[in-house]
Amino acid sequence: MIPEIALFLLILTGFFALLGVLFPLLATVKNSPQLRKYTWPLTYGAAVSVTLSISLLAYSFLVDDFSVLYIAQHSNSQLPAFFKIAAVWGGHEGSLLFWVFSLALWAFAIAVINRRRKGQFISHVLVVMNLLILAFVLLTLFTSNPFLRLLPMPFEGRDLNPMLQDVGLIFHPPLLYLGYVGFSGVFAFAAAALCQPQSTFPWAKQSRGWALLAWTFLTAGIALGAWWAYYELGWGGWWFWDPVENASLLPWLTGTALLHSLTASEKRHALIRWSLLLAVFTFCLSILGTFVVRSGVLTSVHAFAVDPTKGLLLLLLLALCLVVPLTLFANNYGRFKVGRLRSFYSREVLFLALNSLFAVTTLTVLLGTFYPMIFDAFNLGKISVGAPYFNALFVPLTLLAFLLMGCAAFINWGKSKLDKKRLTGALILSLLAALLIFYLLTEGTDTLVILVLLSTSWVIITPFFKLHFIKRLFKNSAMTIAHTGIAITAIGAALNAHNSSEISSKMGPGTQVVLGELSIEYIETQWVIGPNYSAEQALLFITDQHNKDYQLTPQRRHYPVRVMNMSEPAIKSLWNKDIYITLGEKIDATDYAVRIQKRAFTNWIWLGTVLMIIGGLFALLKRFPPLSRRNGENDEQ
Amino acid sequence: MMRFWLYLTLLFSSLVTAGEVNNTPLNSVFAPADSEQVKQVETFAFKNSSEQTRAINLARELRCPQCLNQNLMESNSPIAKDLRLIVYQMVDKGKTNTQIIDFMTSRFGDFVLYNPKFEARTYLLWLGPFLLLLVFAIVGIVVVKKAMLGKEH
Repeated sequence: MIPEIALFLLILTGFFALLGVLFPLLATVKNSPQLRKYTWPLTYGAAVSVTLSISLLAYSFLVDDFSVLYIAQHSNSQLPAFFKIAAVWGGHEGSLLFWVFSLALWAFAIAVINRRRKGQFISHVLVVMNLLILAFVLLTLFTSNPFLRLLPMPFEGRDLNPMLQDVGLIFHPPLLYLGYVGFSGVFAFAAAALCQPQSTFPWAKQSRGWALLAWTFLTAGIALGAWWAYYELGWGGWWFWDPVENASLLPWLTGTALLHSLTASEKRHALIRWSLLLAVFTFCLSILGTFVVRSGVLTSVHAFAVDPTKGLLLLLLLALCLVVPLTLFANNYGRFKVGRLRSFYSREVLFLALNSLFAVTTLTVLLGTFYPMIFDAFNLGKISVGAPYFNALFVPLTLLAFLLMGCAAFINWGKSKLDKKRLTGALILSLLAALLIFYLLTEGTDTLVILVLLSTSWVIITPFFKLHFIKRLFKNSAMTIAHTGIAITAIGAALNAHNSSEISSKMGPGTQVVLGELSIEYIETQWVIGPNYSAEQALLFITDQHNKDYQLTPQRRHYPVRVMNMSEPAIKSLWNKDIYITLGEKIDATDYAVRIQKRAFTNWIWLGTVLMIIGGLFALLKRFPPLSRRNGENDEQ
Repeated sequence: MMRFWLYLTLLFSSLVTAGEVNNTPLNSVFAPADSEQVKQVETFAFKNSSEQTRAINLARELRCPQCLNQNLMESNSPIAKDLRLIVYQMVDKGKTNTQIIDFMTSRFGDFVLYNPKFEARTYLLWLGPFLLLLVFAIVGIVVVKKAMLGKEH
């Protein structure tokens, strides 16, 4: 009975959304504020009913209702409870329901925050949100209903894919989706702005907060995904330039550009067209990301469901989200005028350059990701585009971006005179810092590492050379923290690629190997019984040059329900390196192939992403108190 | 129902064997790999660390022809291990990277190269980004010049 109630609630969500589209539109036609007011409760209704629906699905997972096909396919009575919750979004059907859920949550949040601004503009924003909710409800209902029953009811479920049974994977998809879907809010603001007859209204100001929140979620989601891939997959890598990873990087790139562009639009009424287009493209790239994961058009290790029909509908939705706003944009192109530029040395020009750079980077990643597919479609043969290509093009573009980021300290809005003394000071200090890091932390020489160190030092050092640095410490904090974060991630990534080393060796009780300054001794093999797996575990002692001891226990797990063997690496994380040990295949009765890796500076990569997230949160923190104060004023439209 | 019994039996057998002397293999699930290849490739002894680095970097740039999207280092499939061993052995024999890549493409086509060759059909792929950068730079300069002259645009 409960799955049927949940299904009914999902259908109800669709009806709320449908009415949430019709009422405000009717209100606009009839010019009736009374009718418009219904938009808000309808939006709340959609959010409440889909929340109840997904909660009931989670409840059915918890009580092991294997009569539901989706649950029988993704759960098992032996599965720990928190993985049962994670399994709600662990498969295709559930993840689409989660899309609807997060869409409704964002619509709810937009409605609540703007509850005192019951004008036409916000109601149109909610129309776009409700349209999207309706589209995704229909997609879920007709192609991927998670509440379908299975007869006869199986005694036991097929279990969640062991790869997904991990803390990182509980939080990675929801954060990523909240990020993806979060940009729907910005998209809705932009689409509503495009329909607005007058052009000067604070849509940039109103949508920037949503862009920041979505960006923070997306950054956290991508970082968590990279972290999960690092410690769960057992290869020691953290970014593979796989199509699915690229698909999440694309909206992040345009979203980052959007954040900057919106600042220019909000503060200086500049780059309005850029902001509008970036808002549209960012959400479209989010849908494209979902399409890539869900349709299986691109060969990827992460392609979870291969079903062309679902993909086709998503593609249709993507086309609509792209064509309608772009047509509106083309029709009203002349309306979005920007003010006169006063000087070449202005932040407006800097941000234009930055936007262009991000656009080129996005298009490059897009080109590399889809080139093999297009190539194949034209019968030109099969080729692969992978890490070497992306690194060769992405890294120089990133270095260029770092160069511009540092310049932000010396260039202000409107007009600025270059302060040569401060500029020289910053240049000299960042050169020294780069040399110091190079001398202390790097083994051997590598031009690329030197270039990365130089440009990142420039990013980290320049904020200190800003005019009135101390006075504006708080005002600039969010940007400084986020910029420092991406610089630290870049240093970590460069040194990780350059300083890492590894060794593969046949090991059994009593054997010993040496990797650089580390000495690794295999003590014994142990057996472990987990809740839904059994494992062989190696106990290893590691001694470093300071005679410090570490104990590591990599495992090989067997999950009987899915008949899958998984290697669970063991990691000792230090400030400048990770000792990363994978228990490979069994070679004879007592010995395994053991892969020991020294992954340099991995922690710096994570530290950098944490700083980026803190930067995003800081920017939000500065934003929301004045926003709530503004709510006191009545409608700005 | 069958699955459940299978599961129970497996759980039980692993429980039983877990208590045994630790020299015997656990159960059929964790049987030693019978392929000689696995043993050779996982424990390949390189002459020196620079050769090892070269071989590993090269194996990372080659795609496993049977897997979804994994390179020869990451994939656990038998063919990936075979090919990885071939790469290791060729490096060990002193073959250059170009020779090894030529050997691989002659057998499996350009599909195995993660680093696409620069040739007529990949001009767009390799030169596209530079072209885009150029276009954006030119348009940007024109727009900025116009914006500095005009009142509004």
